[in-house]
Amino acid sequence: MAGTLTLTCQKPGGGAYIVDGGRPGHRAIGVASGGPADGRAMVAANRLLGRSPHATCLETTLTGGRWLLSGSGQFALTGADMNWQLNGRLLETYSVLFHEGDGLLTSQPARRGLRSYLAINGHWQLPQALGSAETGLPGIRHVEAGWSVDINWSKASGYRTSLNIYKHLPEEPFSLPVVPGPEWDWLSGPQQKALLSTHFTVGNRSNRQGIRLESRDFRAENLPSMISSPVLPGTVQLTPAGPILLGPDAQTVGGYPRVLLAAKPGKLGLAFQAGLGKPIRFSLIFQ
Amino acid sequence: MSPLRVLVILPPILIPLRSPRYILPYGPDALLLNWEQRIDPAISAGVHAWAAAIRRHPAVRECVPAYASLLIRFAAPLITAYDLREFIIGLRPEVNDRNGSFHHQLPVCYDGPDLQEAATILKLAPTDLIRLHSDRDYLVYQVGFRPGFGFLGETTPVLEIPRRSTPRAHVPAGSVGIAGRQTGIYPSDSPGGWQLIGRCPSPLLRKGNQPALLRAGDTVCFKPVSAAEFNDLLNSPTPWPER
Repeated sequence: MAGTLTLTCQKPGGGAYIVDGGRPGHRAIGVASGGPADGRAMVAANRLLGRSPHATCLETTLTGGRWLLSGSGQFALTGADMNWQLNGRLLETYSVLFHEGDGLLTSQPARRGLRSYLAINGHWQLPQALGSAETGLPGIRHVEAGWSVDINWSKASGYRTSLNIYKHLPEEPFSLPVVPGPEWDWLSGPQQKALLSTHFTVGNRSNRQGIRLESRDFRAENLPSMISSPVLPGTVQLTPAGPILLGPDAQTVGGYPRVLLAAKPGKLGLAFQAGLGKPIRFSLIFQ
Repeated sequence: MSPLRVLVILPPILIPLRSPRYILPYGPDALLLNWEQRIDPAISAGVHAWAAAIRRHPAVRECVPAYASLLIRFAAPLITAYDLREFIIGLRPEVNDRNGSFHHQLPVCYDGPDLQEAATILKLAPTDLIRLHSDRDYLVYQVGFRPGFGFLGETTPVLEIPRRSTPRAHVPAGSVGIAGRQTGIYPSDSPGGWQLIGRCPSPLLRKGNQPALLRAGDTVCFKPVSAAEFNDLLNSPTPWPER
């Protein structure tokens, strides 16, 4: 048995992105490593369908948008709780779902978490550059209204469900384990103390590039200027507007002091599920 | 001709290498090599020589060269940070380690939206600004910020200029900008705060697995072209060098 499911975007919601394994190893030419903002949720969706962990998925942000699903196939939804519906019927998340015919896939704004993942069994027929179908390089379209992809499968996935759902959304208030970054010593004692004790909130301009952390009480003044130097996802840059926790689409070099580093830069998924306005603080660990 | 001018036009291959001054940990699977924090061709040559030598180590996943620093991501199960430091400290890279660099001559139509304003800020006639921008070779100190964006330097001190006070939300691909004593070409549409003095018709990005024209360590010079030549070149861009 084989088949094709066609996914067509009518509305991309609060930001829809094709994600896969990304493009690690190309920072020297300015290419971000990419990949999912919440790798745990994407891997869970792919695992349910028996796909490889970083097989192509759709990442939606804040609200899932509106999509047409035509043909036959199997899919799974993980990550943020967005009340996904197919033709008006509520869908189970973290379970394999079977589809045949034409369906309208819609969601509501995320109630918990920020990013949701749609995995569809099969091979997504998308152009690639440097081993990835993610945007950012020539020849790869942004996901927007009218964007469409055929997903061909030759082996159907069986039914499977996962009870991991509650592990995938942040506890509040969320505290990110960090270690000192290369410019940590540029901060005065009181500045260091303030950075570690402030309860920041996730700013509205946060995206896959980084989480902009805001606080009325925190001031980052009189920072020395620096010559731009490499950064990685998980680096915390201190800008005059506040700290930024860099994410998968982070620029490759930056000119703001790298005051903190996520202790586990491969595990930023929980932080990137913190919704807009939700609290995040740093907790310094000693290695 | 001032001694500074001579230093700028010499290919970096003849410039002595500077060694890194510090090796700092950078999270669980990376090290950061810092040179003295200056923009200097000898430091840049050192960064690229060390990058080329370190890249050969089988446990090194990635080297990211910048102006005066080098980030090394390594495969943590294959090597410890301690052993990688030992390897780095033992290196004595040679000048010819930076092979495979190219010189690019890029056409520029100097009609950018900030040309007049930049000339006014610099108290120069626009023709002088164009001449001073296009009469020398620049070193690609680093590629970053966006795919294929080369930070070229240094411009003559006379062209030193602050960024725009309000960055543009949309800078079209091909725009040629100046900021500080740096210059560069925006490879793709993006936000940007540099003063835009011209447009380059040659694409800096392309489809496929070698998407970026510029590499750190390359050199670039600009050739002024008219609007008519710009349009011709848009339709028949010069072929890329094969790496």
